[in-house]
Amino acid sequence: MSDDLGLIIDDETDVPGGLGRGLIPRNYDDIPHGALPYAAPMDVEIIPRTEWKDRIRQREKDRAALRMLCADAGLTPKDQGQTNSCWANGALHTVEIWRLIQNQPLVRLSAASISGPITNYRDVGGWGAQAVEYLVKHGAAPESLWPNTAVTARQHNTTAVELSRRQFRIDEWYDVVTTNGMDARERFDRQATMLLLGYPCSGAFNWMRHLVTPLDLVVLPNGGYGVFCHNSGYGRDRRGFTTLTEAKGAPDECLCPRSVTASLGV
Amino acid sequence: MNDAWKLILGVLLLLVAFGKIDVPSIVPQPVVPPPPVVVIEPDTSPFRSKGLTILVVEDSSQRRSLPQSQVNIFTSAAIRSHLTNDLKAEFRFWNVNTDGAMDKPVFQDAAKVKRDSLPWIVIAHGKRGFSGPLPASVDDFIALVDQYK
Repeated sequence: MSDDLGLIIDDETDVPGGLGRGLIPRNYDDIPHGALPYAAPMDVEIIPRTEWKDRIRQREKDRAALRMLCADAGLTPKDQGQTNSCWANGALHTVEIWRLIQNQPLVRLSAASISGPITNYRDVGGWGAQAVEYLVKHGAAPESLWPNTAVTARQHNTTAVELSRRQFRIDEWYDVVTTNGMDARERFDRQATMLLLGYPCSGAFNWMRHLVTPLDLVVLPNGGYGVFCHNSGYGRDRRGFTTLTEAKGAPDECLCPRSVTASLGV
Repeated sequence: MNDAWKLILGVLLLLVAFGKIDVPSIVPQPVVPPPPVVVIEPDTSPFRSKGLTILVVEDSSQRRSLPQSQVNIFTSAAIRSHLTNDLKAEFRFWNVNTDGAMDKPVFQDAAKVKRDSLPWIVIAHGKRGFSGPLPASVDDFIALVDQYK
């Protein structure tokens, strides 16, 4: 079971904090919870912990866990290579997964096609809301037109790329947590609720300066809860899988798309 | 022929003459087969599609109000595998506000079918089809779509 969950990170795991791959913590004073266009603050009632185990069991019995959906479709975690674009990779992967949920044709999308224009083609860090806002306004391009790690390669921003973007946009999304006045337990519970309802998340974890894509709430071998993630870089197994225990899994930013543009992607 | 028989024969001839006896009814008739029955299958399809086509529409902001068994339909790998591999179906799961203008026209047509509530499912396969509330579980979903394979 533990192998299916990838690298399980708890307090004992030797994953030094602060060495992540490009996350700049979102400043909620400058960008308050729910202040972004198309991003409703999460208004979903939190699912009580007493229901979690039954709901997890039922999701797995129905093969409704997102990691199962991705595995069957061959949708693997993204790979940010040596770039500082975890924030673009993790957020963009939610679009790839939502296309899978809608059963749109599988298209691998380029994180560099959003992080490049946002950073003026500099390989620097960012936060999830930057990427999601860009995905709402402009959209992403396929990897076939812009390699995923070519952040500084301005020449890829062609007319064909611009025309392709409208096919790969986020239409609506939730802003799930804030670090202003919301403790770690509530942030974990809010993320857990979204995962149990089948929403993939863009999850930022400031302790490791890294942003990943939480897919499923899981029961750990020790009986505790964890969050299974697709991870584009730091702190993952060779397949790109990471499971954060509750001690490490309370997100500092959590964004959940809830519909994307329906397109054929050709 | 004696007189009694002559009398009987005379009466019969009179009855025939005055139409009291239908002569053909007592003569064997050739058997004519009934005309063939043409069964016209009612067109129950909510939209036009040659192959099995399915669209599920939900309000993705309302998942919390649904039972977990029904929520699981939206992401079930078991359903995807069955629809794709066993039924060779085309299908989409859309939010009520999904912009489908860049998808196949058949799904745009399916999205125009009148819905009384959400989540809703429409199925078309030739002249057969269904339009109604989404089943309550993965098993019920598969049982429903199997009726139209």
